[in-house]
Amino acid sequence: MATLSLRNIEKKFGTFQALADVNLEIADGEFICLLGGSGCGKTTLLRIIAGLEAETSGALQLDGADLSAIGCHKRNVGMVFQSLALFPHLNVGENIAYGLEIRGVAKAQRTAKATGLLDVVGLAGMFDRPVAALSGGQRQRVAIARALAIEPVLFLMDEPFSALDAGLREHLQIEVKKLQRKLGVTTIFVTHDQNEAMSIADRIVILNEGRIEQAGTPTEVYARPQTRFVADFMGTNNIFSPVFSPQGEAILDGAALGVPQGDMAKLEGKHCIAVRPEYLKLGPATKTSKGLIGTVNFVRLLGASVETELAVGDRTFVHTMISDRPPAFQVGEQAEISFDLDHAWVIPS
Amino acid sequence: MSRLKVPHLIGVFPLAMMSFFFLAPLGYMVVVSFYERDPLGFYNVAFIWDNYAKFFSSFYYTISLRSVWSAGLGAALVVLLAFPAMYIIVDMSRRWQLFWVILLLSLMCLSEVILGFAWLILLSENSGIPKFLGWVGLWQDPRSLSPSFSAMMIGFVTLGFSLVALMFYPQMAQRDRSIEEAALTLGTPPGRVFSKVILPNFRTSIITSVVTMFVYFLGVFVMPTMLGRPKDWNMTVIITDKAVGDANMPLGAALSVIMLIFTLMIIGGLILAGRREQKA
Repeated sequence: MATLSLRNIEKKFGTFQALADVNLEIADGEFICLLGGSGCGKTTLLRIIAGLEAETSGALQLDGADLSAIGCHKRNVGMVFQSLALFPHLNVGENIAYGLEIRGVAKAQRTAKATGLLDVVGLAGMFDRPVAALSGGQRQRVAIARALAIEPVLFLMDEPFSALDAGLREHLQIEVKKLQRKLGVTTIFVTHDQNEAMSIADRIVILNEGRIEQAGTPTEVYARPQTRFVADFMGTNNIFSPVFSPQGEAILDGAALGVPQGDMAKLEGKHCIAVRPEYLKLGPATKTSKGLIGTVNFVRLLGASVETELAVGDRTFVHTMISDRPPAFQVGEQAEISFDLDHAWVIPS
Repeated sequence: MSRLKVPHLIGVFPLAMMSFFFLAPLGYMVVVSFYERDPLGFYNVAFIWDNYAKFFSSFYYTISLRSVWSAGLGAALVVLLAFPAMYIIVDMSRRWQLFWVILLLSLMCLSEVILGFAWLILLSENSGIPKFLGWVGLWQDPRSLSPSFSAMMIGFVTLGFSLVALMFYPQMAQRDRSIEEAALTLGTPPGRVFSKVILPNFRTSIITSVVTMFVYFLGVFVMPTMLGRPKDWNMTVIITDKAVGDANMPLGAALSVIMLIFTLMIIGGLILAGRREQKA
């Protein structure tokens, strides 16, 4: 059982406010991803949880007990560092067994435990190998095994896969997720990669300038970003501010976007809305077109999809479609942009 | 000229420099070590082993062991003090780090004679530390602290401290601090992180520094003569005494060759041990 509660966490480095008013409840066995750009405070928050930094104010509780009063070395937190921080003077097995040795576990037991964990992370038979002789992916696995060897109450990972190539990164993401599910350990994973967060997290916490912008399941934060920052951060979104007429019609730069249904039908005046690129539709622009007319200024193939960027005045719209057919429009051509307003959502101002 | 020959020709320059400044004098010294002493002059050309045979006497044995002891202790002391000092310095603010580095560089620029003379004054009965301790009432009967073995050790530490500290500086400053944090998260009490993680990680650097200082202290001349008693003198002082004082250049040369072989054996042993460890 490991339920973590963060209440009004604030962290200042001199005059720099690294974290402000961070409130978060993390359930037992949950896999949380702290997501944000550089300097948003995600690593600082992780380090506060680990006890490597002290919060300036706020309360940190683990299963109802005050965690702030407990030193880092007594928190029983397993952490995988961005640099991995393997001990170069110890071999693979000794690295994994280190935490157990500190806890006074007998050599035979810790050797058995380390050997077992090497099997779990797919490095069976590498107990005696020097860490310098391992590949990047193998080092990651050793770091994970070392953190898990102490049977931590919290498993923390600070951008552990950032230095790996895309293929290996995806492979390890799946392995870590499976391992976490198997062990049921409460996990907090820091990343700046929204795809990584989407693929492994039970819940994503998006941070910006030291504050939580939104916390929710991957589907929630992807499909319904609550702030403009989240909408921008969770992949390309088309964000714009049409005027909703008293008749209920949404108009952008004189172009009719349609009549919205549901909650959006009650809107009046100018409101910021967002539509994901996959919900845009492109059609041939004719002289009689009353919709938005954009000029294609960029087309790129992204493996499974094709992305088309269009300029409408000083705005840019992005459209994506499955790459099962050639792009319908080439750079310089004009296209009519349309979308179903049911797929758009309002971003609170 | 063929372009392929150019790299080989470049290699001639260091070889020539090494031959002129090191190998030639060394070769000459080895030749002289087999010559016969001329009590009225420099030496007579001969081929005798007597100079080497003299080394195997209790007098030179004692001096050799004393040299090894004083150089070994000095090397251990200087690394023991410089390593933690630099560990503290690299965690200071940039301004303080710069201050200490400049201070250490300044100390390194001072000659052995100036350092020795400074300690001679500081340890003297009339104007140094003993007088101060007497004045504040901590020492009832102050007397000069030099010459003594301890004074010589202080001299050794002063001589080697900045060198060793600056040897550690780049490695210490650029070390991955997350390794220490990892040790903490794995349950290592803060007080044990130094011994459990930092010291083992710097083991090779520490051994290298100790050996470097050991070899360096084997060859120092000024500190033992200025701050040590005659019974503390090392082999270097004795070689100088024999070669210059007694005008026995062949014996001095033979003792120098033995010292050189001894030093090479230490370095060779270290390299061998390092290779074995790498293989293991």
